[in-house]
Amino acid sequence: MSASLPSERLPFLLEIGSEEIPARFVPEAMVELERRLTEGLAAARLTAEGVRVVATPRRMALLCESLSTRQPDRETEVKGPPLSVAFGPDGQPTPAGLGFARKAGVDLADCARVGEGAGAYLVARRLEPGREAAAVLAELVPAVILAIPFRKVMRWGTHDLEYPRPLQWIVALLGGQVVDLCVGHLRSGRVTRGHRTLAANREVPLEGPGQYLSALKEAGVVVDQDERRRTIRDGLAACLAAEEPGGCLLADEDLIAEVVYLCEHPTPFLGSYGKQFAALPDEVVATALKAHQRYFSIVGADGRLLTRFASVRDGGTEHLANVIAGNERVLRARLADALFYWEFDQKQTPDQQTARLQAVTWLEGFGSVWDKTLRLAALVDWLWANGLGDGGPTPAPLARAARICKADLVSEMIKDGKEFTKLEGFIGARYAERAGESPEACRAIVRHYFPRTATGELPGDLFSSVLSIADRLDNLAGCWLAGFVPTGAKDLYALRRQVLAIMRIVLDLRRSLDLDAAVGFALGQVSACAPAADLEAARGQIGEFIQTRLAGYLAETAGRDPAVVRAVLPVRWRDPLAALAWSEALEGYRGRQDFQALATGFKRCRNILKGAVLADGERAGCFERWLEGGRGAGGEDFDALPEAAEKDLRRLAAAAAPGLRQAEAAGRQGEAFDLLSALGPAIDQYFEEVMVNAEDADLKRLRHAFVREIHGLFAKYADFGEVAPVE
Amino acid sequence: MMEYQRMIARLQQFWIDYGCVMVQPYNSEVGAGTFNPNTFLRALGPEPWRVAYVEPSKRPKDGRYLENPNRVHQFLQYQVLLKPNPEDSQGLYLESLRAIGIKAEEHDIRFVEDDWESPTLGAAGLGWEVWLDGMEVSQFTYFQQVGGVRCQPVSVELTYGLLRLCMFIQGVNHVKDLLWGGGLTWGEVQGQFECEYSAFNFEHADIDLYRRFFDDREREARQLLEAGLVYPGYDAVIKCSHFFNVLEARGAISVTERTGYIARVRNLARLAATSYVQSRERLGFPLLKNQEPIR
Repeated sequence: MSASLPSERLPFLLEIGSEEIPARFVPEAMVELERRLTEGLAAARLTAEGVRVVATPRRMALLCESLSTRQPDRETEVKGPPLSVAFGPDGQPTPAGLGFARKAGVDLADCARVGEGAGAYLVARRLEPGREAAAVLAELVPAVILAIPFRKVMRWGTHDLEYPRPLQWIVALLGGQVVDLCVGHLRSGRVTRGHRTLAANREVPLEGPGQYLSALKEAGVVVDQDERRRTIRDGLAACLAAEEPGGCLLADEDLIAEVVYLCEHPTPFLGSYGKQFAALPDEVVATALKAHQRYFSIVGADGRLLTRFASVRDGGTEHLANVIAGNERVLRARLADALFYWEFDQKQTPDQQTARLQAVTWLEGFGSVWDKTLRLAALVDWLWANGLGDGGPTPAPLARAARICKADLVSEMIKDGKEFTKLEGFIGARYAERAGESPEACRAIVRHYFPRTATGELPGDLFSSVLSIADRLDNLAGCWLAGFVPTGAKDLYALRRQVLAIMRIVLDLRRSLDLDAAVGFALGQVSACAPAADLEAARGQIGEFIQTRLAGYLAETAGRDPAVVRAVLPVRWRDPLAALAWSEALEGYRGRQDFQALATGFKRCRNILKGAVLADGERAGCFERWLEGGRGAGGEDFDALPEAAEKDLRRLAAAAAPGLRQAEAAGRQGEAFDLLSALGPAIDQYFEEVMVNAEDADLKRLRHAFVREIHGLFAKYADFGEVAPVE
Repeated sequence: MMEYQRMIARLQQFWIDYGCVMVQPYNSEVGAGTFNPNTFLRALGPEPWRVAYVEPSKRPKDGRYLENPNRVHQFLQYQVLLKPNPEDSQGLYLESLRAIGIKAEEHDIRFVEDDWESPTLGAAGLGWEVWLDGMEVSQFTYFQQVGGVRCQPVSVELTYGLLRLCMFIQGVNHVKDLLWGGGLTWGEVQGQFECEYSAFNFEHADIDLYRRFFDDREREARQLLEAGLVYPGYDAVIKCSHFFNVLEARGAISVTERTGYIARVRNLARLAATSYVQSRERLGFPLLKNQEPIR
């Protein structure tokens, strides 16, 4: 056995050269490269310190300050057969013994004998010499590169490789030595490439990893993304200070993050466009600037756009005037298009555009968007009359907004997925405004699309909120009947988010809405398109779907205790506001001792009844019966209950009933829980003193009826068993 | 001043020198050079292929009666298809720009993600739009699938927007002012044609007639392709696509119908693609000559 060779540490560089990778892929890929390679090295017992990943559109590099050049040696141990199998009675090796040693790669004579007597067995111990890091890297690196999970990959040429764009070169250097490895047809080397235009894409040989960033900088490439980001920020600020001191850059973080990965050598500049586009809303101009050209907008002190824009060139300052003039021309052409749409669209009224929605399919087999607007109008009326309104008929601006809120889908500005499409709603409102529609209606046209994301801004005002809820209920009902029921990761129409939005809006409005009934109404409307659908089944499924989402929202976002939410939701899920209020109230009571007694008692009721509790329909009657002093659902007379503890509990429950009814009707949850908590000690007492399962069968039946009524009274408020202490 | 025709001639020279076969525009209306069988069919199968050509691309919906400075219903594209794609397609493209007087170092040239998909052709590829000082001047696509058939080897398609490039070079702001050559402008050569076709596409095309055309050619395409006549069959597919474009510009196709029409063309395109590969296989993939077939 040889002594372990000394291991030294050397810097390591891996650079993956490619054609331009989509900017949005790069940050995720950098994280994956670092994670996968460092994990791979650790698994291979190679110590890597000071690892970082840098990237531009054309290259992604992992730099490691110090990497061990070989694995430590390792002693391996393989357990073999019992001695009685490995050796014959004569002490001579058997074929089994010899076979084991051969397979383990040692002489049988060198195998150790472990254990005593009949349990003794052979052990082969081997010193496995550590491998060179270069050999490990040659296997690890190609596997890691090709396993980086990109959102979309392609094939190219005749190669059997997949990457987001064609790979061009691989640099792999451990100290001054090339780590010889192959990624498909590409063999690693020490030659990288300079900036495509600043250095004519010239070959840049590297002596070692330490030289990487500086050698590339000399060749026009700023590989470090943080440095590029700084250059862009500082450069834009400097341009602004020099040319437009009153202006303020709309520092769009998403856009900066994207632009950082669209260039290898950023040089910021400012450009201008003419005043002839002043008729366009700022949002349209800003969208043209950002969505298509990746330009930054600049606003004046009044917050309005100046006719300037900021952008970044990939290259130096030479011939910058060309670049500025070119970009200005392009922008003018884009804005000219927008101005054409803006003027053309206004030749039609919102009603004329709405009529054209008859030709726009909403959901295959579920009619046109025009049909949808008719349903929205009816749904808005229903919501207004059933909890969301202020009484009286639907206000005219809300009814009007429901009818014309989708008109802009046929406008030139929005249709065909142009860059302005994400201004849907906003554009419709601007056109409506110019056609003389009321400000409230216009506001609802814009804001009925809110919230646009799971945590996005809510519609805010009442009309927009009602219309937003209506739109989402209609989507939910239609998509459900059309079979787009979310499963796992598949949720084509983002129904989870739509339900979440409905709940957020309702809670924001602080109004009660019976979601189950609302869903029922929405389903009824779309069922005209799906006559064969089982509406009751769909309503039940959607109810469960809503309940799950509401549970998640209350626990995760509203910060309510999950156990409390589980207790309250089965009773209150239909009305998110009530669900929140009762959860909050219950959370305040759950720690109290008398309340714990009540919760424990509740659980014991259910356990003793073995699930034979009052059905949903019988529960309301239970309340009436308590108001009259208490009797069983089957007419049982509780006067026959003999023990003091049950007489007490009965008296107290009956006495609490009227107060409970009042408190609930007035939404005074705390008071209701006060009343319920007051019953805690009596319940506790009851279970201590009363044998529910009495030997006398009649008495047992009677007590079960009694316990059922007690349980029923509480179950009206929550499933208290969920908040009971663990027994 | 670089005339339009001279710029085209320089591109032709560049790609001839590179070793492309130079063909002429196709004798049928196409929405893009990709429809030309020299791209659509030749991108399929294992045979190598390098081709370059000018293609008048006809997009009825884009007509603006010559009122929009940048938008016309028919414009010239320069189309290059290289199969398999060379290792340095981007460098080659930049050299071709230099051939028409655009020096990369004097501008800002970017390759910006733009994946391409043609629902009518059942084709898809990954690549970029090329920005020249912020203006999209070319489309750069590595074909992954054409006519529903997986591309192996992969071709690269370079499509130059000749009008945009030339307006850029000449510094002209309206297409009609572009200097074409022979002392004439684009407007003088092409203006009347453009205006009349705008009127035709939006106002005069006979909807019933074009629907009938579509149905007839669809039937013909299927019969021909099933009879193994790939090129005549594919020509009928191209016609269907064009008739659909006219009907759409005319506002005769509802959104729902649109999906149906596109699917009908796509089905034919798929049939043409598979028929083409089979026909070449029967011929023993002649362009492979002495090469081993590419897996």
